[in-house]
Amino acid sequence: MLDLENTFDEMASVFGENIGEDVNNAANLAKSVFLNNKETLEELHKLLQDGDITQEEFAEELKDQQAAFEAEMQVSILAGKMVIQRAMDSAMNVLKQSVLP
Amino acid sequence: MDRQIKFFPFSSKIVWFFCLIATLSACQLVATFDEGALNQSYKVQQDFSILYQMLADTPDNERTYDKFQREYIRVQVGLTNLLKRHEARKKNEETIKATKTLTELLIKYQNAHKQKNSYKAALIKVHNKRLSSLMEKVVQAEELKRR
Repeated sequence: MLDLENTFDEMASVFGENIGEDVNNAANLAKSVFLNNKETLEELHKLLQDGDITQEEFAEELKDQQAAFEAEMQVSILAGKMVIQRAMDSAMNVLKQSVLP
Repeated sequence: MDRQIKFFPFSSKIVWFFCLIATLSACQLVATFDEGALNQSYKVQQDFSILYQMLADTPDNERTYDKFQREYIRVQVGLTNLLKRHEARKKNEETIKATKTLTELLIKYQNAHKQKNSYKAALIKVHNKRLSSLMEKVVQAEELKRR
């Protein structure tokens, strides 16, 4: 006999557990993107101050860094989506196991 | 009404339960993992590292474009093929965006090198860091899809 109440409780529990495990990894990825971006911007300022790059090159580099930062953040968004996807897949496995003989 | 119940002997709760299974089974937020794309990413990452290591190891006055043309083309072709592979999959927007930006930046630096026939050591260091980091994210984007 199918016990719907217990199955839904178990699904919610498995979903929550998986979110908890993966969410830190996704947050760390986003954090590393911010830190990396900060480091590069500091390096660029130093290069400009030391006269290793011109003002024009500096402006161009800032544009490129902005584009790279936005692209890297997309991967952090993907990591966030994967947290939900994995948790959903785990919950679905509970559901499938409860109906399969 | 009674007759209908006889022909449909499940409770509405059970019907909703199976509807839920069908709905959730079809719910796909992200493209499925592609091992071929991951291997292709590793290869491009390796070719990219070779190119920028060669650029960094060459003295300023010897860093002419023709010495690196072959390596540039290898990385560019690898990235273009990888981008096409990513674009062929649905729900893959984030990976496409990262790969596209990486390709555009590499081509921009390649063209600048070609035009000036020189490449400042200071810029090589910054570009290497930026593109390596982005390349790493392109690899991670595929690795993340493993379930």
